[in-house]
Amino acid sequence: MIGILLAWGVMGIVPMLREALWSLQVASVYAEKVPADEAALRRTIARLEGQLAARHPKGAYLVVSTTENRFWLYVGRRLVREGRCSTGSYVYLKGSGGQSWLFQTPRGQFFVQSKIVNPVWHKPDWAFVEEGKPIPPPGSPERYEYGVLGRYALAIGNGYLIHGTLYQRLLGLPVTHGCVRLGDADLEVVYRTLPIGAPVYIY
Amino acid sequence: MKRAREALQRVGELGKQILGRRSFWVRALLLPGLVLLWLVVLPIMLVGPSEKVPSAEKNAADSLQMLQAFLQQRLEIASLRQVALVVDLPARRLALEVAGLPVREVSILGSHLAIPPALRQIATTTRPFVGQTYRASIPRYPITVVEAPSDTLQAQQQPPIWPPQEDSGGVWVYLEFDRGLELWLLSPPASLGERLERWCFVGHTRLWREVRWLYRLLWQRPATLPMPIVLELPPADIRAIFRALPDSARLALRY
Repeated sequence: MIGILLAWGVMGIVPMLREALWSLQVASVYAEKVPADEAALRRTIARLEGQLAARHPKGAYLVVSTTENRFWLYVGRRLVREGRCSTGSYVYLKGSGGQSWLFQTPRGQFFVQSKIVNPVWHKPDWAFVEEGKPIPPPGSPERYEYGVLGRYALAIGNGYLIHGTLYQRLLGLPVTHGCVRLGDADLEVVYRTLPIGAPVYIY
Repeated sequence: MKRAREALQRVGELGKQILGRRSFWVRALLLPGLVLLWLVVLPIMLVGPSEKVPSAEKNAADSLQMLQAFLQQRLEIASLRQVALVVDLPARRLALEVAGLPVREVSILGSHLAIPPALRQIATTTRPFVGQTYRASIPRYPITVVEAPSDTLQAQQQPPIWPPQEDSGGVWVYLEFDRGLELWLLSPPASLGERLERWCFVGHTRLWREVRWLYRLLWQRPATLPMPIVLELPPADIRAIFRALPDSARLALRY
């Protein structure tokens, strides 16, 4: 009862207090309105729209949704392929030595940095921690695993790849350690369509 | 028959006694009344001075200035290469943009914009808004915590980790940006239960906001006048937008 009355009081009084205080001040963070020359405004708008349109990629690019685990491959404004993919699982792995990893796919704009045929997985520390194995030294042959990343891989920076998978039935689910996994047929098209330097948009 | 009549008489007398007591009326009417006031009437009343979107009172020059500011905001956002939010109220469109490319566009089902009279000059603001804090009915990320196995045997015995099943019902998100801009992303309630949950979320968040404002005022920290924008979107879109945005998300706004 007291809580409700207190909440009621706060919600009733604070907006009134705020309005009263605000009316005494000038909202300095907001620019002053200046008389506008309509023709000049239209010219500026056209220029700005041109600058924004120029940001649209002219060639091939890939869009990946991490919430829906879907991808869309475009060439210019034409959609050439779409389908399921797998992205970061959001598993937070706690190792015994105080180390931890969050398996999340990064978001933002990336670029294809290199394209690899028959990629070899260079296993990071978490892959051994996850399997309950001791972590081998860097460069150890144990760190290299063949045939698990599919036929092709496209590196997008910071160790993240777009690659294939042995677990095709899991496509569409968030199950990866941060990379983007595609089905074999989709991967082939993506690999052949995206040149090095092509943008990849992940959201 | 006689017994039944006596029992009925007793019930009647008891009823008269109860109705005659003041405490009964206090409990029966005052408490539910206050709860109703808190959950329903106050959230509606406290929205403040508002205008429907799109506004009819703006002239052509105003609209052009707004469009110019909006494009400047989007260009600044585009240079960051992060996921950003673009809200175009006259076009009833909300988009996620990455480096100037709209990657997800959503039609706004319903919207409500409350611009306090002191902030009408906001249209000429060319800087994008920067996310400060949030409240949501869903976790920011569906994180599953896993303890690493101690050996290979334990690793083999561990069951596979599946992504957590999330409730597909209503999603309510409140995003607070700098300069007092508030974005409420609310999915339309599909049932009475969801409607109540939404009211509770809005009520709690408003109370939280007012307490924070009071705290800032008392400690002489900058406190701005809130400018809430309430948008109704499908729950899947709210989920995708909320989870795609980085912590200091940028927002471009046109109204």
